[in-house]
Amino acid sequence: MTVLAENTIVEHIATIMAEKFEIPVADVDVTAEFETMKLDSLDLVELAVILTRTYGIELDDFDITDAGSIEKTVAMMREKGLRTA
Amino acid sequence: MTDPHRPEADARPAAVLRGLGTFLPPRVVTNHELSERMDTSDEWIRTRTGIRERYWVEPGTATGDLAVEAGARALKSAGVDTVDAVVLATTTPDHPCPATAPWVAARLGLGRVPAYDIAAVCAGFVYALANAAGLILAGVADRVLVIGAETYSSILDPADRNTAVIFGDGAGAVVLEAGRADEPGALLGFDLGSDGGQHDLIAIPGGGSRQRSGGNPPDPAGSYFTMQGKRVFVQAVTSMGGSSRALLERLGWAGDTVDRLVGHQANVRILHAVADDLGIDRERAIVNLDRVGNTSAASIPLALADAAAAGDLRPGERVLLTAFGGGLAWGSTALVWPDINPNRHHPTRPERWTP
Repeated sequence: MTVLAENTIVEHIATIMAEKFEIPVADVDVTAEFETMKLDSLDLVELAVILTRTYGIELDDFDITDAGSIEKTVAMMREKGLRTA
Repeated sequence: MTDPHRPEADARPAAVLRGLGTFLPPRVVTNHELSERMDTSDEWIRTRTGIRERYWVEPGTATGDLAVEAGARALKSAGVDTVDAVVLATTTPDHPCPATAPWVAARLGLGRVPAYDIAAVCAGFVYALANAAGLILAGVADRVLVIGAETYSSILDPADRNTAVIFGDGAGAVVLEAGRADEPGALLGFDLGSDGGQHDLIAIPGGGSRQRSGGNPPDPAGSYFTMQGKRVFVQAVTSMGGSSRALLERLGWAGDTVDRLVGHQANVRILHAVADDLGIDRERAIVNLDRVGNTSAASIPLALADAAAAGDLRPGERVLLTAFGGGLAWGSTALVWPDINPNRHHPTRPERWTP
């Protein structure tokens, strides 16, 4: 399994947020709380599905809600076993 | 260069789609009407689900009545008046016993043909197609009427805004006939699956032997449909994506060669997520749930007929059908769209419209 750099994963999630949820790239702040990004409950469910599929780490929307931001989501994924360089 | 859409000569027997008919009950229920009755809003419903309106039956109309209407139209569309079997997919049968299909067959004047129901909730229509194809390939029947019909308005909890805004009533039906695998309309294969470990995600808890044998008096609250929306959302996306991918791989169809994705019409965001997963342009996903809501086992034939009427589904196009629902159960099939003339009854939308 390819081990990705942590900042690569953070950037990937930021790209997903911009593309899937139509948030302007400039407004995607990897440290910002999801609440401030005008996401609804299903957006985080969709994000969980995409991250589970992409990285093979079982996540649900509660995990992501608890994490609270893109950066903290990646940290949580590492705790769940995601290996980063 | 060979045309990827032109099927190679294939003389294997197959079940072939010959006719399509649909029926919606007359009463339209808008988001606005629901927002006057419960704590919800048009904006909340549209952004979470994509639904704008749905149809509910008037008191006294049952699933069988809708099934007869759709079945008659499918027979007319196929230009036939006899079949060898009737397979009816529904979550909302007229009675717990007997099955609804025999009554529907009798009402349609189809004689003493085998007729039975399929219970696979929102995946029911794909399961019924597989079942009917099995009857044809086993030599039991040459022609089968397959119906998906629902009256979810009869099982919705009026106080549950998470389900009451989603579901609609309606029916759709197709005629399948014995033919060849290289004909347009041939069902080219199936992928079916279930996961009973998650049976509680979508359920009507009461009314069955699990409750009755417990000696407890029937609880009216237990007779309503329940759904754990977010967990269902995740399972719907992953199951329809996985099932579709397995089928496409078997058929040798790359995702970007699928012209139309006709997924179970539960939620536009689920449909888009499935399309993204399969590498199918979102524009190729047929969406009619904005106009009919989630009609469970009726959703796929209703979506096919609406798309054909709008010119969004043309003969020769590669079509992938995929569905997911309670059970959990899911399934997929695929076909090249045939040159048929759907017979569609839509109470408030004319034969053609511009979406």
